Amino acid sequence: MPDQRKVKIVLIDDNDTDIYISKKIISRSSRGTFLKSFLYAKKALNWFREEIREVDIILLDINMPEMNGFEFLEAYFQLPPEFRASCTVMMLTSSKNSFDLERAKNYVDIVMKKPLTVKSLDDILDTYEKM
Amino acid sequence: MNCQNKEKYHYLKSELYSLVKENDNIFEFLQRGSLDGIWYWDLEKPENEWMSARFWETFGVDPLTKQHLSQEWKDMINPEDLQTALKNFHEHCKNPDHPYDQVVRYKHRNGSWVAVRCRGLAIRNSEGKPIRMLGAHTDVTKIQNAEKLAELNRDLILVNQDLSAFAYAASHDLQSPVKSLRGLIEVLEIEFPSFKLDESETFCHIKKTVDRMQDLINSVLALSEGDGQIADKCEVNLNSVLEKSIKNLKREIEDNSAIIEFSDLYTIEGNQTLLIRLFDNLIGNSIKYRKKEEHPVIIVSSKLTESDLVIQFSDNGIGIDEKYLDEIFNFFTKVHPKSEYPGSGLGLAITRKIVKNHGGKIWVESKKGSGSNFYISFPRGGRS
Repeated sequence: MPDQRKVKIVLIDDNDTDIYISKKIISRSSRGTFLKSFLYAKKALNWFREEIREVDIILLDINMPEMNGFEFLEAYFQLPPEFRASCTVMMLTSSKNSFDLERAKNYVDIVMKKPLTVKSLDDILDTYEKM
Repeated sequence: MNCQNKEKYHYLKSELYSLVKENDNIFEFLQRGSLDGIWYWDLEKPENEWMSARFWETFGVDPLTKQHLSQEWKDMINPEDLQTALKNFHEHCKNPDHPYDQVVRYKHRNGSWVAVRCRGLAIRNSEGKPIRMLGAHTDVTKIQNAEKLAELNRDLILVNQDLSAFAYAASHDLQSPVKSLRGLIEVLEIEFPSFKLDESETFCHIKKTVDRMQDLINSVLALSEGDGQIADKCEVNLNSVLEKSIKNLKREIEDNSAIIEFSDLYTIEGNQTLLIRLFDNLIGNSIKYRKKEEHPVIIVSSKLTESDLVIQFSDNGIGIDEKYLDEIFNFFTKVHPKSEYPGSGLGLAITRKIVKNHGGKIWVESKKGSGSNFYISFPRGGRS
């Protein structure tokens, strides 16, 4: 069971190595905890649809096959508010494409560079706590 | 119709037409001045065909060596084209509305092909039977070559765009595994603090290699990005470009106690991001290739000449061996060993590309051991 006092984080990324890195970094944090990860955005979306989940932060990749980060967000924001109430989406991407980055800023408050580091996780949690 | 009628009755026209009939020189002048050969063929005795001197000269042949026989041109025309011409000839003889008009190739005496547009008109007797054929040649080789060249040029542009897009896509995609590697290295350090990985020389080399790979990929990406970005042009104040660049290089400047002097720079039309990268590269190089015993001093100045705005970057660094001066702007040129001066070898190639994309030129004056002067000139049209 994840620690209830910690910020619960869900990862969506088609690259399992990057998920592994994020998990490891999160496991070191005193403030955040890893809840669940998805290699397919579609599966994550279904998981959110099934029932109200207690999630604080989603770290979402942009470039993914089948359903990319933007398509996920389009669908995610269609969900009833209670299904995404406590949740903040932050994008995590290795994209350097300025068009992608600008577009991401229209959807989410934070766009972070991949991979997750101890420092960038701290920044994410700081931002989350200030919200 | 009206125009034609007026034309028909113009007194100069009637005069010219009768002049042609009366004076051979006039006809000679017309055919020489407007055509690259004419021919007149006896269809009743098809072995006989008169060809003008110009006809033969166009193919590099001395007209005096020819006997006005139709076989003479048949020997020189491209066999495939001969078939096309003969087909049109037969059609035209049957039906005057079917034009005898095609481009055919003749073998020039020097071995090359000459493309001529060959047009002809059958002369018919009172029963409508063709008895003579009058033809005219126009040399279209130059036009055809120009068209071919234009086509090749279009292909080249496409291939170049493809290459540039490929370099961008490849370097963009290569980034992600390298970044993952860096992440894994960080995880490894966190996971096994007792291993004191930082003290392992092997581990340090792994980190350095990953950094180098990242640097290289970033450079290739920067190189391929340049083309698209030039579209976002605006007035750029070079002083603010320099300020941003100094900010970007803060650490290098402080670590090396570098001094950067500059006068009032001008404003040019260009892409701010690319210009900052250009300044970063040149100033960064000046700091990197410093003399160990002297603090780096870099002077950035600009001046106007009649046609250009010239920016000069002078330093007191180690300079460049003259034998390398031509090469340093090429891809992957490294003059120094990697261990001493790490880098991708793409910095100046990127710099040159940025300058080129701005319509400018870059060159360098330097001597080994006595500093370098890099010059960039932009045409003054883009300056305000």
